[in-house]
Amino acid sequence: MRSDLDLLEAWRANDQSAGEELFARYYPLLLRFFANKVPVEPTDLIQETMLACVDGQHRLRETEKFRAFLFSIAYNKLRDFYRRAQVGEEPVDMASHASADLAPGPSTMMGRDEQQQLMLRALRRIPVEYQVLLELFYWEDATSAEISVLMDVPHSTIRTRIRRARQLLEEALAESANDPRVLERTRTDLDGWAAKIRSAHQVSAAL
Amino acid sequence: MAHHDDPTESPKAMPSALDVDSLAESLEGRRIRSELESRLFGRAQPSPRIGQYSLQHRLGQGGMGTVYAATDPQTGQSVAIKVVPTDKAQAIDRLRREAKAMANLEHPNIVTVHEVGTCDDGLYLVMDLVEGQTLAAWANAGRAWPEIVALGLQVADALGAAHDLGIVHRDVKPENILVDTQGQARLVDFGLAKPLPGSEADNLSQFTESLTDTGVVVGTMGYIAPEQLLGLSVGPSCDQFSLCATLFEILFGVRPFDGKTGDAVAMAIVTGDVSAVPDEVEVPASVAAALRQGMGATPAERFASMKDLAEALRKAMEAQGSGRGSGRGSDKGSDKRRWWSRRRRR
Repeated sequence: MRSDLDLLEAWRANDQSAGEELFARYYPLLLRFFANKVPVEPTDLIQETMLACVDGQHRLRETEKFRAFLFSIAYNKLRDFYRRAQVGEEPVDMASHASADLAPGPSTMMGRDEQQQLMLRALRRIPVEYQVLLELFYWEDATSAEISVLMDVPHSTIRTRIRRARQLLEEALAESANDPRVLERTRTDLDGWAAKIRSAHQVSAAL
Repeated sequence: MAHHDDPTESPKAMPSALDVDSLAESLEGRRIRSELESRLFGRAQPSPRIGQYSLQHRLGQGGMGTVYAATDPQTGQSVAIKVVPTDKAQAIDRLRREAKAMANLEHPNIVTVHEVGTCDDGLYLVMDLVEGQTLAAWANAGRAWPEIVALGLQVADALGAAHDLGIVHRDVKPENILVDTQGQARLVDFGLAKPLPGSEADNLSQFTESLTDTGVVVGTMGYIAPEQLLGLSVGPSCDQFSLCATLFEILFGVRPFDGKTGDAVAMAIVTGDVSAVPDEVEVPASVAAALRQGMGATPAERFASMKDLAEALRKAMEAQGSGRGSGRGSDKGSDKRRWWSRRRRR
């Protein structure tokens, strides 16, 4: 199998089939990277990322893995997207803003069941930086070294941040479990509510 | 994951079953991929097909499936296709029910279903493509109250027709009412529809699922009728409740049943604790009164039928129109005053 870097070089030298192969390899990763962060179809963002990858403006450091390089471009494209979405605002601070605030609207990716939908929504409600961190670490099996490259923070910081991100995620999950607006958008287990209300209602009816 | 040397970072704490691996293989993933291949490498890619229909773009996605705009290459006809993946058993049931319910329903304010079928990705339902927006989006543009009530009357008429066939919608809410480019209301999503026991629809379409039983709660929080929320037996008047809750929210810009927590909202519904109407909204008190009656805590407190609700709303509109008209010596059509509904609170 040809290496990613081989394919990239060949694509840069105008070998379309090499480009197609590289695209096929990384399309699933890019799709899930963007799908839970923007409320639009991620088609444009994936296209921009692939084109930025091939146009050679971004230099691949010798030791760097192609995947980390690709994610760092994707991360920048995401930042640009949020900046465009917030017309006239300051540069986007991904460390303190959640994707749900930067680009509100339902995500394009739906979980298989309600539990997953709640999880995906909770991920969207923590700062983007933490969301990206958790998703790369747990879904993509990225190493903390890779993540440190793409986020441009020291390697040692990453572990602390993952712990912090997990904490925030747990808080977001706990909050959403009792938020009527979340409930409304999720087809939650209304049976559970009914049971709760039934017992409460007997009390209020007796008053 | 090789790098979990730190026990506090056990992958167990993160749900491992997130459905992300199959994303690229989903219908949606394949469609975006073919679009990208054609953009990046200039090859014309055939768009994925469902039945004889060729998918164009996605219209919307919810927990129960995805809706696409599609065309029939033979006739050039544009349609909307709802696709529900096979692994969503509950959603599949709903889609089947929707198809059955709608096959018997023909009404200008109800979206027509043309076909049901199965494909590799699941079950699909082919419907009229409605060009327009949801009621919520439509109302966000700022609408005069008579315009909103007139639209509500169309939905009331559509629901009345469904009730006549013995079908209860059970999930009336702003997202399930579309407004087409001609300003006509189109009711969608009969996925929770249920025939009344012993009705014509019950005999005809054999809804055999357990949903005819009491004790199963379906609907949407905030619009769901108390008897529905409590899992009691549900009749046509639950649609009346939900339609009134919907119109209340659109007209007054506040949710009729509100609270900081899901518990509080549920309790407000069950105890009939309707939000106050904001002072600055100029909607006749008679309209608000009709909506309150439609949201009665028990079916007995509501109007006897959709027709009666419609009648009350119509009277309220006429009283307002002729009252103002005679006061200024002009007919009601020349009343240029606008009543803006407040933006919906989100």
